[in-house]
This record gives sequence, structure tokens and C-alpha cells, in this order.
Amino acid sequence: MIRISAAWQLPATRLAVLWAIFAISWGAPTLWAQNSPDTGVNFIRTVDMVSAIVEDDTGQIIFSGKSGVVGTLSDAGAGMVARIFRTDVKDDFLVIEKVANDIVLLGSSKGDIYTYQKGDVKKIASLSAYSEPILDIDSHADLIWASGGRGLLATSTNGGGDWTGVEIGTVIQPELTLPSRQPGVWYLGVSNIDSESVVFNAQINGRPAVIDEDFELDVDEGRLTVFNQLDQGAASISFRFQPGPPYRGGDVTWSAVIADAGVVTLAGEFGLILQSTDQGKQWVRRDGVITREEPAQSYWLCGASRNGKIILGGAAGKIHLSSDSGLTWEPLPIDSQEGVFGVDFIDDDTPIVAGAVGLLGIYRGGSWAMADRTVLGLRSWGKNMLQLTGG
Amino acid sequence: MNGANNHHKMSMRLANLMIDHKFITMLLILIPSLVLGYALPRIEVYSRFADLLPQQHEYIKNYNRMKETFGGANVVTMSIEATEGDIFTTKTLKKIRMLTEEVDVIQGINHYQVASIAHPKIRRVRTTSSGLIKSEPVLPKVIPESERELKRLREEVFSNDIVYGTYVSTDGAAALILAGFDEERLDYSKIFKRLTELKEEIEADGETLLYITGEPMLKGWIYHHSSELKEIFAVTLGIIVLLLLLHFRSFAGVFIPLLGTGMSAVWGLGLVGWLGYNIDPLILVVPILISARTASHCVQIMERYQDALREGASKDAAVRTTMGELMVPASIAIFTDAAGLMVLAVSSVPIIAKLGIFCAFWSLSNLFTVVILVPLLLLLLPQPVVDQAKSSHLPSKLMSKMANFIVSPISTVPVLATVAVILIGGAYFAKDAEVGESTPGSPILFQDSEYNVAAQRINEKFAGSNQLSIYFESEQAHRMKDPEVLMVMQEFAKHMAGHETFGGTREIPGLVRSVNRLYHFDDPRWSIIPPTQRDVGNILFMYEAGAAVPGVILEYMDLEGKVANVVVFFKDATGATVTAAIARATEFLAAHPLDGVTYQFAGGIIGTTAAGNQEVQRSELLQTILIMVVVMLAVFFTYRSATAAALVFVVLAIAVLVNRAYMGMRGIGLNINTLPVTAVGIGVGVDYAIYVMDRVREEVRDKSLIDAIRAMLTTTGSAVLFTAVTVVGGIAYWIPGSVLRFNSEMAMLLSLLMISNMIGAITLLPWLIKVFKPKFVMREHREDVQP
Repeated sequence: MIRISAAWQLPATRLAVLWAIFAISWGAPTLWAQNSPDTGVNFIRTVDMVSAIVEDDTGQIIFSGKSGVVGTLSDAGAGMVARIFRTDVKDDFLVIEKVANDIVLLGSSKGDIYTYQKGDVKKIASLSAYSEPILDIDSHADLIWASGGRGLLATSTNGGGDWTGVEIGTVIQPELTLPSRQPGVWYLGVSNIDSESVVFNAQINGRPAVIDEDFELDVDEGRLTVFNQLDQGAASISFRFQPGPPYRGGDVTWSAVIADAGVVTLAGEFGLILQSTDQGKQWVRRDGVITREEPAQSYWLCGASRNGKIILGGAAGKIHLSSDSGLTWEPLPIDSQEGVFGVDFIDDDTPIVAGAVGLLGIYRGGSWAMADRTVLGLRSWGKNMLQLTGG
Repeated sequence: MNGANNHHKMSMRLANLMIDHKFITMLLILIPSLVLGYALPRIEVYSRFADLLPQQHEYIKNYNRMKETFGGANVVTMSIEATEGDIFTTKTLKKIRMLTEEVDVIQGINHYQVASIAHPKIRRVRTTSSGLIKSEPVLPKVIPESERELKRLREEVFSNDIVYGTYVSTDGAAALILAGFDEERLDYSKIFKRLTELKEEIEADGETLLYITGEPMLKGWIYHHSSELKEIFAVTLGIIVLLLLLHFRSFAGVFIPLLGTGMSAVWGLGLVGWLGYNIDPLILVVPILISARTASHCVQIMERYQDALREGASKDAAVRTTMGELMVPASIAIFTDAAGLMVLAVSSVPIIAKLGIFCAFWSLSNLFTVVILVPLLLLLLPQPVVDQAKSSHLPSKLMSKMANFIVSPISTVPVLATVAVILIGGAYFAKDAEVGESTPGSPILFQDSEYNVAAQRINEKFAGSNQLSIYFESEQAHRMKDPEVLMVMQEFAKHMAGHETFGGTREIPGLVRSVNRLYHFDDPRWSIIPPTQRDVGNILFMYEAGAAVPGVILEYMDLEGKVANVVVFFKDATGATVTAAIARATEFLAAHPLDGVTYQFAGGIIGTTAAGNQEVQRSELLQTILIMVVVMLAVFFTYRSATAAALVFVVLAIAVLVNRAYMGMRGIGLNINTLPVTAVGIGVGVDYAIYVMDRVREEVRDKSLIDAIRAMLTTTGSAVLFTAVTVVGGIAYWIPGSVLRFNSEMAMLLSLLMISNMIGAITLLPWLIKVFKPKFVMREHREDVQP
């Protein structure tokens, strides 16, 4: 048994009363005392914890981390007592998730799925032929989704025992409106466009725009060049595309998968937010925009949903919120350039985020209230925010 | 006619020959003295890090091979600490930058081994929202001045894996600056002076403190304190002169031992000059000891000469008797001294081997500069006025009482009880003697010394400044990028973390994880090792290509990917930590072999110290046995007696025990510095034993054994007592007078050895002879005399 010697809690605000937020750090200051096998003397040791959940029946936290680390944290009054279970696994456990029937799944850095049950860890499936990491797992009812590096996406309906790979062929880009009638170059924010699927709805001098004469589309790079001024009225474009970098369709890291009733949301590289309502057969791109400048695309790192609201957190302080189950999105700008590694809701609809350099914020009244990292002594990155039993 | 008589007659003949041709003999001694003395100005007193390493040891061979790529272990570690708050103030950050820049221009610095948050190679790498990787110095070019910017910098530093806990303490109150130096000859005084100046500058406003440790700084402190040597030498000389004057009460009594000692030093140091050796300030105590022993031989001759005069002999006859009688025992004593020192030459540690060679020669020179020259000088000087009774001398008075006690039947219980106490007490404390340093910091200095306080402070604040390097090596290029190899390195790092003084690691898996994460927008989940060698290679290439200065990858591996440097940090380099670290590493790597990869031990201060300790452990046993065997063989062949050898063994064994017991009691580790001193010290007692045994043999010819012992104790015993007092008097001032703990402790140790050997020679040895009546003594006895 080892005893945790450092943890932090928010100060005594309403937030702390309602939630005991335990931001499990990824990095240095998670300190542990352990007996030295050489001398029997206690010393401090660091363990990295990458993902965590709360176990409903016991209220204790189950965490996972690098080099096959799986353990529990339980409240011992004055502090928390940690226990690490011995496993033979050398890979990193990047995600731990509770799915239906109280099954706890672990996703590894080599694309393997493990189950956890009372300290026992067992490998049950492999999702990637190329050992791509599993970055997120989510479920709704019996349908479990797992996403990861280089297009890894799979579903399971039997508690993680069997998985079916989900190939995202082409994605539907709903109609995008051009912001201006002026000629020039427009960036569509995606690559690998299926040229057969392109519908450019614009008039020039009272006639439909003609390709090569009035406009040109670089389908590989996703660049639309309009040669002539467009007529009054909305001009729009729709198409299908393969997500990924030019010429490498499908090569996208899906950092977050959010499973809700009847819809699944995927977010990851290239600022892509995709949704499917038919269990992955057909995908639609959300939050698409057309820009004059080559877009600085977001890199989504995490996501969460609650009561029809979805929040995504990304690199360099990017946060987007949807209040209509992902159909439309609004940015929630935060005064930080740090990566957002964890997002969630409190009070059912209040966003809360954690991230690099001790970033911790709550969105109230249309702005972010940031925790003072120096005052709180946050010396590492926060990622997982958990509601402990008893509020 | 027995062998011993033959020796006696031969030595008498030889003495007469040399005395009859005294000027030729003196000329024959003078010529080599001049030749050797010619090289004296070439002698240089300085220290070389490489001299302290056992060059034939496998670890050091590997270390020497690898240090060209990965840098050496001659590193200065500095910590700037804020006296209040933390280092994130404009003023303190400017000091960190200034110090980093200033140490980088000190002569002898290895520029690739300078590191701090102010050094361009220590970076903060971040990704923008569009995926652009930005690598910036941790400390911006323009040091922030506003509270907001400083706070921001503090938060960034605290979340930077490369910096947090390594270059900035976990409480933010201290910053670490590392500076590696070359290992060849360095001007440590100059380095020390410059670092001390920088320390004064940084501490001038009272807002920050600067702690400095590391081998070059330690050497600097030793050099700094070397200036005290002049004072100590002067006091030592003064004490010896005073004791000689009080004892002999004549000019000759002072002049001759000093001249003999001086001539001997010319021979010994002359050889140092001719061979181009350097003298390390830390081993200066050994030549002092040899000089003291030379003086003691001189005193024995002077004493014997005065005894002969006291017996009514003329000056010429007294000199002939003295030279003839003492030639054999003095030669054996000197030969055993020299042989004992020559044993040190087998060491693969250059400093010890060099010491063994020139000190053995120095000691052997006593055959000419003392055994031959001193009697000839006595012949040239006017005959001294000697106290006929001799009983007025304090040593004689004491020894007279001692003689009465030893020859009486009541001596048995006290002598045996004392021996028993020494054996039991010695064994009790000797068990605590350990190889290597016994306390954190340097045992060369006192615990409250500035250096050791700094070492302690730095170890409290940082992960540990003591490195162990294990080299993974393969013939195959890029093998060090193989995930299979990385996995073993990672598991190795985890395994090493099981030791209580573990501070952290620096290895390729950690770097790959860190860079991989950065290239995935800092996502912690991407802090993983990619599955293929090619992916790992790409990450390492990006790290090297994106660095501000070339060669940053060389901290981890060579450019071909054939050799990797896995570094484990520890909080101290005590013997216990070093042994445990090597044992843990060996245990793990033996159980985790990799095809085509060999694990090469070991670099860093822990690796080189481990090599030194292992060599010391091996040498210590070997040298102790060799010294004993050489001495006993010399005694055996001289007296043709196993009993004589056994008696010498008893004295030597007690000396070894006392030596170990004191080291265990005082927590002095057996290391490269202490080994030669203890080895030399062990042999000290042999001189006394040989003089004592020889005098009993001489006296027993015409006396009963009891009377012979009594006569020996009042003559030679008195000389033994006096020479021991002289030698101890000579080195005793080092005990309170030296700022260096090493010199102080070694002086104490040697004083104890001298005293215990002296007591053994004048109590236990005569008692043993009285009880066992050994044949090699009794065969000298004339049959017509009452036994």
C-alpha cells in the first residue's frame, strides 16, 4: 500500500462544494512513497497517470498510465491512498473507460484493448494492425466506440470482446457559403475532395459558373479559385472528401470520440469534427468554413457531451461548444495558448477545462474564470476531472 | 657458526670497508644525489582527474572510449538559490544568465557540457494551434520584467519536463547550472578563483546564494587549502627539531637526522622530476610519513652511536659498531618499507602506481642516505658529549620501568588483556569500515565545509548531481532506435528507480516520448514510443534538426545510433549507493539480454567511483597480503626463522586491525586517496619490530634472555619510543591544523598506527620473546652464560 503525498483541491468555492475536482496530473508532481527493496527505507517515486474514472459502487478512482500502470485512489480522510496493481503489460494505458454492465476497458499505446476487474488486467482484443495507439473510448447503451491514431476507429457491441473496424470512406461536406462575391482564392479546410461530388452553386453574369472558365478547384489541396466576380446572391459549394492530408486520405488521428443517443461525434487532426447517425456508415463534417487565408486548423484533443451540448478542447487553448448536438459550433476563446487536455460539464451545462501548464478554467456568464496556477501551486498538467461520490 | 653470525660478520666487514674509504663512499652517494637533485625544479604539484581512475578497469576503459561522444565526469554543479521567494525575479534570472555565460568562458570548459535554463540548448518546445512547432530558449532573450511575464515564465518552467526538477528545483527557489571540464591537466586554482569571484558577485546583494560542487571545485578547494601546507610543514619541522634537540641535546642530534631526511627527499623527489610525474596535493601526507620514517632510522643510528660512546668506545669504534650492528636490521627495515610501497605500483590507478614507484625508491634511498651516510657524517663531526647514565632521558626512564614490568611475571595478564581489548574493540569497529565514501559530499573536507554544505544543499533541491552512465552498444547502425532496445532502456530506468537515492534518468525512451508528444500538439497521450525503428528515427532526427545548437542528441546517443548513453541520477555517491547502483544495474541487464547489443559499464561519477572502489577493494586485499608476505619473507630469510616472521605478522595484524577499526569508527571510507596512506601506514610497525628483535639477539649473546630484553628496552626500546614520539609529533599538528578533513584524519590514523605499533613493539613483542624463547633469538646465546 502506498500513500499519496501531494494532491490539490480547488479552494472553498461553490465549485469545490459541488465537485471535488481531482485533476490527476500527467507529469512530475504526483508523488508516491514506496519501500526500497534495497534498504527498506521510504522514498518518493513518481507515477504518470494518463486517464482515470470513478468506480460507482466504491467511489474510488481507477487510473491508468505509462508502462502498464493501473491503480486505484481512495479517500482516506487526510489524503488519498493509492494502490498500484502489478501487471505484465509494458505498453502504456492511454485511456480507461467504463462501458455498459460495469465493464471497464483500457486502451493501449499499441492498439490493444484490455479489461480491468478488481485489479486484474486482461487483454481481450487488438484493434490496430500497425500498433496505432487507442486514444479514446466512449459508449452509449451497448455500442462502444474506440478511436486512435492514423484513422483507427472501431465499434463493439459485446462489451469489448469483439470489434468491428470502421472505415471512413468519404465524408459529406454540407453546403458551405462563400463569404464574398469577389474573385480570388478560397480555402475549404479539407483535402482529397471527390471531384465528381462537387456542386458549386454560383452565378456569373446570370449564368451558372463554369469550371476552368469561372473557377478552378484543386481537389487534392482543397483550394477553390474564383476568376470572376460572382453575381448577387449566395454562392455555395458542397462536396464529399476523404479526411486526411493531401494524397493520404484516411490518415487522421481521432483524439476524441463522443457517443450519444443516435449520434457519434469524432474530433481530431486538421480541425475535423465528424458526425454519424448510422453507426459509422455515413459521416458528415461539422463546423466547416471557407477562408481566404490558408486556415490555421485546430487540433482537437478531447471532448465531452451532456444534455445535447458537446464541448471540444484542443491544442493552443482552442475550445468549441455546440448546444445543438454538434450541428453548429461556437468558439469559447480562452486567455491561454496552452493545450486543453480535458473538458467536461458541471451543473449539467457549465463547461470546465483542464490542460497544460496547470490550466484550469470554468466558463460562467460568457467568460472563462481561470484558476490561479501560481496560488494553487499547479505545477503540471491537468487532464482528468472526476466527480467523486458524495459530491 | 650460524647464518646470523655470518650476516653480522659480513656487515661488520662492509662497515669497516666503507669507513676506511669514507670519502669515496660519500662521493658515490653525492654523485647520484646531485644527478637526482638536478630534476627537483621540474616537479609540479597538481591534480589530474584521469590519474584517479583505474585505467585498466573495464569501466574506465569503456568510460574513456565513450567520453569523447558523451562527455566526461569532471563536472561542476552550481545552484543559485533565492534567499526569499523564488528565482523568478528579473534580477535573479539575469544572474543565472550571467553565470551561465561566464562559466562558458572559463579555460578548460567543455562547451557542450554547459547547461542551465539560460543556455540556448535548453529549450521550451510548444505547438501553435496550427501545428507549428516553436522551439524557444527557456529563458527569453529579453528577460521579462513585468509581474505578469515573470509569472507566466514560472508556470511555463514548472510544466517543462526537461527543466522542472532538473534545472529548476521543484519549489522554484533554485536554478542549476552544469559545467563540464576537460580531464587533462587543468588549472584548478584558476577555475576555483573564478568561480569564487562569481559566487561573491552573485551573493553580494544578499538576495541569492550560490552553491558550487563537483570534482573541479573539490580540487580547487584542495589547492586552496594547500597553502596551509607551508604553515603545517613549518610547524612539523619545528616540532621535530625541538624533540631532537631535547633528546640529543647536541647540534649533531638535530643536524644529522635532518640532513639524512633531506638527502633522502632529494633522491625520492628527484626521481619524481626525472620521471615527469606530478604530485597530487592530496597524497603529500605520504611523503611526509616517509620523511618521518627516514628520521626515525636516523634516530636509531644516533641512539646506537651514543650507546656505543656511553659504553666507552672511541668515536671511530662507536661508528664502526653502530654501522656494523645496524646494517642488517636497518637494511631489512628499509627493504621491507620499500617493498611494501612497491606493492602499490601494481595498482591500475595512476596516482597510486606513481606514488608506489617513487616512494619505494625514496624509501630505498635510506640505505645510502641513512644507513651509510649518517655513520660517515658522525665520523666527520666532533664527538658529542653524551650523558653517561642516560637515565636522565625521559624515554630511558620510562623504558627502564617498562623493562622491569615486562620481564616480571605480573606482565602476562595486563599484556594479554590489552591485546584482547585491541582485538575485540578493533574487530567491532573494523566491521564498519567500508569501501568508498561513507557520507554524502566529499570526505576529504569536513561536513560543515562550504563544499559539503553546497553538495548537501544541491542534493536536497535537485534530483541528484551524481550520474551513472550505462552504455548500450551495437555494431549495427540505428540499433539504438529500435523500439525493442528502447523498451529495455525504459524498463531499466524503472528498475533503477527502486533505490532510495535515485533521482531520475536521462535516456532515449524519455526523449522520444517527450518529442513525440510535442509533435502531437503536446497531447500527453502521445507521450509514447512509436512502434517502428523508422518512426523513432524520425523523431530523433526532428529533435536534432530542430535544436538551436548542433549535437544535442549526443547527450543520448552517437550520431550513427550505435551507442546510447543511459544516465541514472543519484543523490549521493557514497560507497553504499555506488555498490547498490551497480548491483541493481547488473542484476537487471543480466536478466534482459538483447541480440546484438552489449551493455557497457560505466561512466559518470558513480561509474568511475565504482571502478575506483572495486579497484581499491581488490588492491586493498591484494596489497595487504602482499605487504605482509613480502615483509614476512624478508624477515624469514634474514633470520631463517618462521617464528621471527610470525612475530612480525602479529605486529602487522594488529596494525591492520587498528587501521580498519579507526576508519570504521570515524566513518572514513577506503578509497583511492586513503588506500596508499593506509598501505604505507601498515608497514610502519615492522621497523620497530625488526630493531627490537635484532637488539634482543645482539644482547642475548652475553646476557640471559631477561637481561637481554631489559637491555633492549632501555636502549632500542627507548629509541623506538622516542622515534614514535618524533614521528607523531611531526604529523600531529595536521590533526587540528589542517582545514582538509582528509589530512587531519590521515594524520590521526597514522599517529594511531605509530603509537599502536610502538606499544606493540615494546610490550607485546618482548613479552612474546620472553614467553616463547624463540630459537632465532636463543641460538645467539653463548652457552657459558646463564640463560
